[in-house]
Amino acid sequence: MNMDTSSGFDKAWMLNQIGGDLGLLHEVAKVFLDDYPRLQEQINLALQAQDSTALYSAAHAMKSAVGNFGAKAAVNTAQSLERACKDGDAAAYPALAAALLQGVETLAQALVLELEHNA
Amino acid sequence: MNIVIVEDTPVNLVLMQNLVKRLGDHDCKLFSEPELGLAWCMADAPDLIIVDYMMPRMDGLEFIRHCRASEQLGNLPILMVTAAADKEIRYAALEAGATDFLTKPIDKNEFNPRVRNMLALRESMIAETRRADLLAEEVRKATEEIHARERETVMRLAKAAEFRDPETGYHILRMASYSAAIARQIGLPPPMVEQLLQAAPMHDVGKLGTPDHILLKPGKLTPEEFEIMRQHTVIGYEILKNSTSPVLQLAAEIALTHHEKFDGSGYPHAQQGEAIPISGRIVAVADVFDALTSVRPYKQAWDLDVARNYVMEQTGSHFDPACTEAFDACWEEILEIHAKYRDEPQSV
Repeated sequence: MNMDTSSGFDKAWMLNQIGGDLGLLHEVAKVFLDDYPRLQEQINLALQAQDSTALYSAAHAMKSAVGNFGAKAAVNTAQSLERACKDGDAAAYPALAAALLQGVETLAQALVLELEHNA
Repeated sequence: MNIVIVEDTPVNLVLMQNLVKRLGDHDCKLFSEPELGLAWCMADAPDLIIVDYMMPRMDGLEFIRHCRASEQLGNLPILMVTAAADKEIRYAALEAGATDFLTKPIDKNEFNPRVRNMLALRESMIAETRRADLLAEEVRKATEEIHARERETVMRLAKAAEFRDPETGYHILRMASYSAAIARQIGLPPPMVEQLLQAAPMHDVGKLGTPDHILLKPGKLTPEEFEIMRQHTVIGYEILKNSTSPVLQLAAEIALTHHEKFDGSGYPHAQQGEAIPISGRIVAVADVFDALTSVRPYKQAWDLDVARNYVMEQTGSHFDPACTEAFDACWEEILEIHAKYRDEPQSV
């Protein structure tokens, strides 16, 4: 069992959140893996357009999704990006967005492994 | 129960759907677009709505405001999903009408009890509505029963008077129906027309107090006898007056005034014009017309058109012009009533 939370995936925490239902955990992980490229693209498009409102929404949606897996680092980065968007601190967008996308990618890889291990 | 979840992030949507499924046999409807969710809720009125705060185009607050402004979703349980730290948003959600909150990330230990509470709330709302409907139905039935008994009492009273009178057969039904037709034509409100229909049969109830030798006398009455005969109006009034029932109050008024004439030459009080209650003026036309067109021991039934002309000729003298005008205008209906309640020849 992979209990390493540096990947952003905190399996023990998530199982506690959903009543120990491993089947549900896997179902939700699959949905996330299908959906997260869309969320990443939303972030990239908003970043290119320098659209603070869109970037805020995209960061919020990503935070809301990854939060379910106990990805605390990614959640914190998303929150920082949200705050930057609210403050209109455009200079901070690229670095925060890059960090968020990287964190999400790491989480996704951990979820792929989780699914493979339990296939 | 019918549960709607409105949430634009698929992961959360699936997570909540699964938690709801495990709670029991509930129908779960999912919407990732708030506008579609709102439209469905407006049309199908679910039992519980779970709505995310942050959504594109329409946020959870606006969604809830739309629900609360509608009649069908005005007091439905609504759970709003927010991050625990969003205190300002929670205040705004309460202001908008959210019933309770769910915290993100979704936590089964919180999700299940809160959803169950909302469903219990909904169940008691439904039970209360059902009780209220049931009670209203019982009251309606009880009231209807009282009215039916009142109608029955009234009809029995009218029948009692009928036994004392040579005017047999369908007389009271016909004259009551003529009265209602005229009242309707004049434009009296429907409840008043209905009351008149019920009250008119008692117009001659005072004949219970008229001595047999006068009531059943085959020949012409002497002036003294006629004076006693006239008293049936006052006796009828005395029998029926001071009732709390609107129908009997109206019946008392009719009994007293149905022999008054528009020009003041009637009895018992020689009232004139609109000093005579409208009920008395209407019943006067109906009663005379039916007497003319019915067979009596001392006369044949008049031809309907002849009787109609006679009534019209008495406009302004015996009858209120408004009543004869209405009588003339609803002639087709008068004919229908006459045909419907035709006395059998042998019953006369």
